[in-house]
Amino acid sequence: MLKKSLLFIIIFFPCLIISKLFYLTVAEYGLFSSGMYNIFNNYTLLLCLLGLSLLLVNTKKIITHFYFFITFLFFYILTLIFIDLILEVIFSNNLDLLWGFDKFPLVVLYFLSIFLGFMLWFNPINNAFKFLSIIIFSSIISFHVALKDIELFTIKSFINFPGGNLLITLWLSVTLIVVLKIFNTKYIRITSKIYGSWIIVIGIMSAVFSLIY
Amino acid sequence: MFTILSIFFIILFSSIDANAHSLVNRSSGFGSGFSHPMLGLDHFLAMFGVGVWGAQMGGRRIWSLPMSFPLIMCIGALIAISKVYSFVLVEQIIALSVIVLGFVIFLKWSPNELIAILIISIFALFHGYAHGYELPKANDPISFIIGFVLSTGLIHLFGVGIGYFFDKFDNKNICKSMGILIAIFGIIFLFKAYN
Repeated sequence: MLKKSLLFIIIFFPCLIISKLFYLTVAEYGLFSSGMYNIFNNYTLLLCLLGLSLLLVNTKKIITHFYFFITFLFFYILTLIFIDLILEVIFSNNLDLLWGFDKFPLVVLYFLSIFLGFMLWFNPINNAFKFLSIIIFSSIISFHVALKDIELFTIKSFINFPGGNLLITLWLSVTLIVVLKIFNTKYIRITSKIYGSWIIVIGIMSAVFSLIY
Repeated sequence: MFTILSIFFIILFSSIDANAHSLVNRSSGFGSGFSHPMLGLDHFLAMFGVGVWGAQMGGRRIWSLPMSFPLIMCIGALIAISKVYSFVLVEQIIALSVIVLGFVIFLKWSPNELIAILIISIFALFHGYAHGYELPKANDPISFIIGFVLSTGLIHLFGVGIGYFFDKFDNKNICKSMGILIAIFGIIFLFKAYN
């Protein structure tokens, strides 16, 4: 029963929304679908999503996954609401000058991949570390989304660009977690360590390359 | 059913690849980064060899070797990107890495984990340098980085899979034969690098 419900969430819910989009005019769904493409177009973001799914897959209780979801959503919206404040802190400390403001949305993702890589290396069993990873992940994704969004964030505009990003992020992570649950915990642990080193390397090299060139 | 399958495969294999992920065009983006270790046989055999060697040794070393290689490779690539130091005899040492890895697989040498990591680290530096050298020329360098790191990792895993399978289920001669073959290819690469 539970598996069927999960399959419903994974397959039908996003399909319903995407098929619904075809009946709308471009003006109404343009930003939402560009938000969806934003996730698919970004390799680093996709790799981070896989990293997070590997980190969360060993959680046994379904209710804990629900708490993960609530935490993710809370910090995603919180960062979007306080984006002006975060940007002020960045500008006042001249952090934007280090990589250049145009590269900033991507540079934060490189640091996210390094962070997730280290978390995968240590592969914590304690849920507190998983919650910490989710808080950092959702805040950085939200920050990246806010920097790429052409609209000023309001609760009403949430369904547009941030909503598209959120839908695909949740869909992909839930799908990956359900698929990864098939595998033995031992293999997941080994894969996490190897995959962790890959995304650390990708993060470090991309960050250094963006800094030099 | 057969007709439908035939049509499906004809359509699948007759289509041309998208330019964004072309494996033919050098230094474009993800595709060329991904193909760099795959199509360069010297890189491929060395990374495959690391995977097979790790699987042969067993235990922690199954994952510690494929985990360390990309990290050290990253340092080599960073040296090439930042141009702080120019490595010499890069092609020759890459060829030497193939020979050494071929021989250790053939001999089924099982040293201490640290020694094994130290050996592959020296070679990983040069492999990373070769990848990093190509980076600034790429149209989309970040995708190139992601491509070659993923491809390197996948070759390691392929090597681990093959090594583990033959070491566990076979009489271990196939692994030894692979080691000899890898070493022979390494000698050919070394001659090529000098000519």
